[in-house]
Amino acid sequence: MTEKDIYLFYSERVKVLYSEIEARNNTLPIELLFEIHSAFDHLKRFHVDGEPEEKCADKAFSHLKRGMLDAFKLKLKYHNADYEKLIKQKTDLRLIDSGKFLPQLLEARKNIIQTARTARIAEGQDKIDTAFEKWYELSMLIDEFETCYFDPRKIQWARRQGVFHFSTNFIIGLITGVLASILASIVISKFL
Amino acid sequence: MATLFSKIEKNVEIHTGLPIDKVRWYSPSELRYHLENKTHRKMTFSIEFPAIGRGNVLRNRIVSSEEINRDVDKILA
Repeated sequence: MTEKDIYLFYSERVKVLYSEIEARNNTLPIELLFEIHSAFDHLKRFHVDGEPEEKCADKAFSHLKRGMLDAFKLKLKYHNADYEKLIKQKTDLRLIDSGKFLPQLLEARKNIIQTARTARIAEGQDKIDTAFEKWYELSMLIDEFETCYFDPRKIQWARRQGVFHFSTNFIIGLITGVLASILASIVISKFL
Repeated sequence: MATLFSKIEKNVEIHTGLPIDKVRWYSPSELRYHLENKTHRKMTFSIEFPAIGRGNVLRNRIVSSEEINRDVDKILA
């Protein structure tokens, strides 16, 4: 590996993924910047301290890879927060798409979690290529999930329907209660 | 993996509102300027430890520029 390979990897992969993380909330985590800082420091050693290029490039590459893996984990973390928010809100998601929305959402979520687990296991076993492949796949699954299930129009519609169902049930319950009490008072007055 | 990454690139284009060539070409400050204009929000930095990182990076918190200025003013007073 050469110094140029490091810049290519940075330009092709790292910068792209970091940009996504930054664009999500206009926030850049310090931990990601520190990996770039560390990589830069290794490249400096080749030019300033006379260390071999290959050794410095390898070390810099490790930091950039770590930064990318961290970026994927953050993407999962942000997705998880959005998912929790969606699930915990008082909207009946079973109303959307004739009841198909919720089971499909749960299935897609299961797939995301399984893929993340596989990626983490591969990472733990130092199978970095497999780990990267799985993290790429996971990133894509999260993007698809967001497109399909974080649809504000559908969620709004379900919320409105929920309010409508609640109001209808409330009014029916109220009318039934009033009628029942009138009926009961008539019956009681006839027998007394 | 290249095909998978090209899908990620498409998503980055959606999030940043920029073609991928520009994402690569822009300097960090140009990208920040673009995103701040797009979202009408100032860029901030966060600490995501322990979700990521190894605990060796400003583990407790980050120091804001206001705090630094205050400290400098204290020295200069």
